Amino acid sequence: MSPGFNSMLWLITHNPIKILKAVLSSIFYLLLYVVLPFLLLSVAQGDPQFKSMLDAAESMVGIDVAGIANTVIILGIVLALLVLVGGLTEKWSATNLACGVASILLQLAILLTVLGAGDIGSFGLISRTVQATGPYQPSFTVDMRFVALAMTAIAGANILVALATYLDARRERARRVSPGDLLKRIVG
Amino acid sequence: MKTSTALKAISLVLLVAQVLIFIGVGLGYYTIVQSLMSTVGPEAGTPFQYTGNIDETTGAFSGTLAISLRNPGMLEVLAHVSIKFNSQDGAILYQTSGDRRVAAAASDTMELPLSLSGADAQRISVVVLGLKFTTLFDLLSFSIDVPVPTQMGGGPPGE
Repeated sequence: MSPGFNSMLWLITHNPIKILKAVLSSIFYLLLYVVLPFLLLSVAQGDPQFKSMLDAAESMVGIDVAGIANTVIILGIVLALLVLVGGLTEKWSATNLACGVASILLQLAILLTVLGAGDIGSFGLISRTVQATGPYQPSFTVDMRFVALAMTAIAGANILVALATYLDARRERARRVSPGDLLKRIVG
Repeated sequence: MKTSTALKAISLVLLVAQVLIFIGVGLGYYTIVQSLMSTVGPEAGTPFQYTGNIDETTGAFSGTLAISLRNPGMLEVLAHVSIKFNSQDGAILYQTSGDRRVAAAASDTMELPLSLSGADAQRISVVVLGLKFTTLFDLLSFSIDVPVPTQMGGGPPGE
């Protein structure tokens, strides 16, 4: 069994507060990235005026709001699972580090998906031509590259912090290993 | 200071930075939308006013186009207005543009020179109005280009 799984088993029996914190964190992300987009989309699609706006956004400027919401919901479910698993593991475990880094990258992916109106590669720069009748079409550009750049930089810094936290926790754990544990490790 | 404490402090700083960026973006786009709607929205009235001479026989014109810019938002905006007169074949007959900073909850007027000979005025096929609002220390922007078809030989916009 992996050390991450062992630490999870240990937690279930020894640290209910940590389990509660992990579950609450996971629920928070579920509410933010799954329940909220689902509710907003349901309300928007149920209202004829909003529905026509969503349809117009898709047909005239190629922005698929329902597609964006569904992408956020799927990524949100994965994110909530990662947060739950990460929360149930100890900071010194590689599983915790992997979940932490993956959740930071997923949150960045969700943000870039929303900023790019579904196109994650646009990096916050939306440029569209309105498909209107007639020979001349209006066009518009929304430039949020600063937000995309700042959030990417912050995500990078968060990954470095997660890595430093993992290394620090491992160092701390090694320091706290009792002589008995050390003997057990040496013997077998 | 312990390493773990320092790392928690850095995480907190990063979280605060994220929250501040989101607040800034929210205020920025609120300002842009408000400025756009107040300047060219349905309730904006007539944002473009032309003053100058028009030669009735040739169609030549020379004057200024005044644009009323309003910013009811919470941040300063940099407004950029451009006007292009294009011919049927896409050639640019005349173009002009200008920038104006409008403080929060203020309004201003930008004046752009307009001048075109009679021969070129006869060839105008489309007028492209460009409007760009930039805010939050010029980090966020929204721009829109609207081509307005005109009759051949028609006068400048606002007439």
